[in-house]
Amino acid sequence: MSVTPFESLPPFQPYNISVRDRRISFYEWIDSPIKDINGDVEENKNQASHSDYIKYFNSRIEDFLKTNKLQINNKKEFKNELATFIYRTSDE
Amino acid sequence: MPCIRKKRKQKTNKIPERINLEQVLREKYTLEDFLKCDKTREILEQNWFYEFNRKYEPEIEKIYESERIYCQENTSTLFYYDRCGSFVSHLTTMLFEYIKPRYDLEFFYNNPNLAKPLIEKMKNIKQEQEEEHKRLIKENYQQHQTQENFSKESLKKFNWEKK
Repeated sequence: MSVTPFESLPPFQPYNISVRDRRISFYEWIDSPIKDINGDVEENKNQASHSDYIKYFNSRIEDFLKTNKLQINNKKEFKNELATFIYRTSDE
Repeated sequence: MPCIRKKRKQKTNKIPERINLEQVLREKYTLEDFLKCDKTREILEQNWFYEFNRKYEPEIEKIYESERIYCQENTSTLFYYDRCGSFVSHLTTMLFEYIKPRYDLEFFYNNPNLAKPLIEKMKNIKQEQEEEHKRLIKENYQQHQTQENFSKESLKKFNWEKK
């Protein structure tokens, strides 16, 4: 039986792998540390959380837009959408 | 002996003043006007969509791919479910929705005939405005006249004998 906690969205369904059910909410995920093959990812000797990565990714997009003299209409809403997108492509 | 031959009237080639559509478009119409007309707006939107797909989308895809591949190589929790980069279109679609469109009017200046629906529409609007203006003047005049008549009648009814 699939269990999807309140305030969490299921990941995007790729065609070649099965998707695990969410055990934590979006808000818990965003504050949780990023994990990779070496365990928790560190940045400047601090644990890097998913929210840190979202900020970093958003800044990369903003830099790109700035160099091309483009603007975003609603920055806050866009950041939320971006966070949701990364959340849905990521594992817990 | 003086020459009696009549001087032929030299044909003066009247060059019809060519209305330079491009100049008219540049001087008289703003981006807002182009967006008010359905047909020109559609062209502007299509061109922006094409420009975004051609110029900016590949660059955004590059940024996303570099991040995704790095995370995949380290078996990170990030982008875990996007093994082959198939979800990048979600990101580009989202960006297209949020980016302030950059409409390019040069396309119309280079192909002024495409802006004819706008010019016709503006003519119609001007005509409508003129008609509306005339109607208002007529109404105002009529109102004024009825008021005048009323005042004259009231004067007629005035009983001078009582004075």
